Amino acid sequence: MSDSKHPAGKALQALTAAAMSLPAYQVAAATRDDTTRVSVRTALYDEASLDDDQVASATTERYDIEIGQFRASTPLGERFSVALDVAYETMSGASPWFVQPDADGRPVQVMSGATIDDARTDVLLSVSRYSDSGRRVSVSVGQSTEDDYESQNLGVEVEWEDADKMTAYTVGGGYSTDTITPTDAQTRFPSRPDEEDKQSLTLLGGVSRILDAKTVIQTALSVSYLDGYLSDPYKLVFVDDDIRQDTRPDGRWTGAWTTRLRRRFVGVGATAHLDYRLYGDDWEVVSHTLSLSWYQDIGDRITVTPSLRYYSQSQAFFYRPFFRSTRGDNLYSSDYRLSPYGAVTLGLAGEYRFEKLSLTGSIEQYESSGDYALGSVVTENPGLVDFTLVAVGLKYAF
Amino acid sequence: MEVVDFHAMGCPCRITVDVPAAAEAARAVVERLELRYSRYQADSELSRINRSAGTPEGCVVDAETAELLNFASAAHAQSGGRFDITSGVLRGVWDFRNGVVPDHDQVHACLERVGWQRVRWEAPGLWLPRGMELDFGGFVKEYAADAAVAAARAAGGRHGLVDLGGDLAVIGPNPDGSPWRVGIRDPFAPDRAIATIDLASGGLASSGNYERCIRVGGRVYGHVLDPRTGWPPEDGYAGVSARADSCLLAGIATTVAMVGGETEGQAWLDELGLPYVAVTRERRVIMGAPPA
Repeated sequence: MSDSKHPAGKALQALTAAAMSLPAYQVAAATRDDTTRVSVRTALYDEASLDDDQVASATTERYDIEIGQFRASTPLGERFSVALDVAYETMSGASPWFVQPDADGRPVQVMSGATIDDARTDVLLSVSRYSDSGRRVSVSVGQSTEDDYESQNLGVEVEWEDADKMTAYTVGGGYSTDTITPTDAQTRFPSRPDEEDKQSLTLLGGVSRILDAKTVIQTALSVSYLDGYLSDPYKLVFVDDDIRQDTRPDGRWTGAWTTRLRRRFVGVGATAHLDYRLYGDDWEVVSHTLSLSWYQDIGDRITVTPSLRYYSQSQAFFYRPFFRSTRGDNLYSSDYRLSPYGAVTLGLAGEYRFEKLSLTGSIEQYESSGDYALGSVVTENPGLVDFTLVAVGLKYAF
Repeated sequence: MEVVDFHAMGCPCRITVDVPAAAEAARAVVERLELRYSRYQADSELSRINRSAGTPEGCVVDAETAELLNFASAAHAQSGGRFDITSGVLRGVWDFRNGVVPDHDQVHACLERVGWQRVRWEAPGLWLPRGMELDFGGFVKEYAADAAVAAARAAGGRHGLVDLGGDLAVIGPNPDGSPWRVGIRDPFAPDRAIATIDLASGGLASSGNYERCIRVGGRVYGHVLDPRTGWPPEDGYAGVSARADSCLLAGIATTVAMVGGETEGQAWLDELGLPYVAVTRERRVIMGAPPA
């Protein structure tokens, strides 16, 4: 008797699918991974230069970020598992500073003059406890450090399932506190604040349900409140021939509703992931994200995943490329991230598995434009970013 | 390793697992399923269903039974009617113990009470026509082996094997990571193995026992009856074993192959694409290593 190497017949597929609904074949939602895993990944994030005619300063170069990531997870005792994530990033380049009108009244970008060099270290430790009934309780603590930035966060998540094992529920919450101490504040840039902080609180709830042997749907709602200094200290705005600090409200309510559909296509050896996210906040930014990924198995060892993501957002109520007159509420921002735009991301990822080792590689091309937005954008922000992200990684399961 | 031997579902059972609590959990599942789906216990779920036969209100079944009926229905469709949980009533006309072959009229009359297509199944409602019965004997033992594995794993078992009278399901490989070495029984001498295979995951099921036959003149009547005709296949196998991702699938594969006999059965096994060993009555051994 040797293993079958040819694709299973239709009858076997049909019987397998029918058996999958039986309780004995349903894996508990929160089953501990009993393998120790280690992975490393390095990525290069490269923002495309701006066009000359969009820029009023000498530099058209933007940010490059080099990213190194390490992750390890292992079971601990009978019921616990622990995971550690460490990321180190070095950033260099110039970033959009402010937007001003040119002689024709057209917005042009002024980039930050000096090259910014910074490094960030993120550490996240999480511990999970699993019970026989398929309940998982996870607690995580994290810290992020940059020259001018410090953030601590704490998260709790509980997952459990129905008796029929077809439905699983997740509830969670997170809190973070951040401090920013902008460089060159009060000296070169007197209007730049020298120390600010913000806090955020997030609550989330989700349901995931097995629809049939090959289809799983998951839907989740999250609500956050951010409080404190939410402006960008390194950005300025052009207001009625005056240059002011980027100034945003000191509170922000946000809500996001995410739905994910996973469907296995047994005949072609592939899994489709279709995700939609609706986001809205009280700054009047509303965004839609739709993404489709196709995980195609090629033999036992290779998975190739092409993906397509579409994004569109509306602008914040206090955003303009530049301001011809002052606002009564004194809120101003010309940040392209608060402007109306759309974006398309094309991606291709691959994984090669050999025994306990797996090699991964991916490339993503992101392009944003006013033309891609769902509504019509009259004036596109000249600072909209395009980037390429290339990553390679190595995973090992002990 | 904890080894628990017990008797359930009409056969000797053995659970071997690294965690004692997992052995108990697995055994409890097997005993629970036996109580629920035994034909011999008047208070079993199956007896309750069978008592509702012919009533206008039928009966309503619980979630697990509904899934088992859905699976049996799919197996009936995929096997072209060769797997049929209503075929148990044929035992009433076939007396293997006394070696009496029934006459054609008896079998023909009994066949009117056989056929899953005659049952109205609108989950969770089931309407069995008068005189008909359900019998889960064709797959509940294999399902119980898989359910025992799931229970053992949920209780922390990571290495072990469930053996319900020769139907096997793997909890996990040996503690050193090596697969279980298991014997494929010889249908002519069930205590002997005709082959030994490595089982690292999934299940192995066997069907057939050459001792339980009726011999009349030169003709051999095997104990596995074709639900479509009421008779055993003329070219019946002495035994079939198959390996699959679960003991349940392996069991359906072997049961349907036994019903089909050498001609239909081999075509069925080859179409499934599962590894198998079939033994003919002439003691010819056919190894199903499907073409690559």
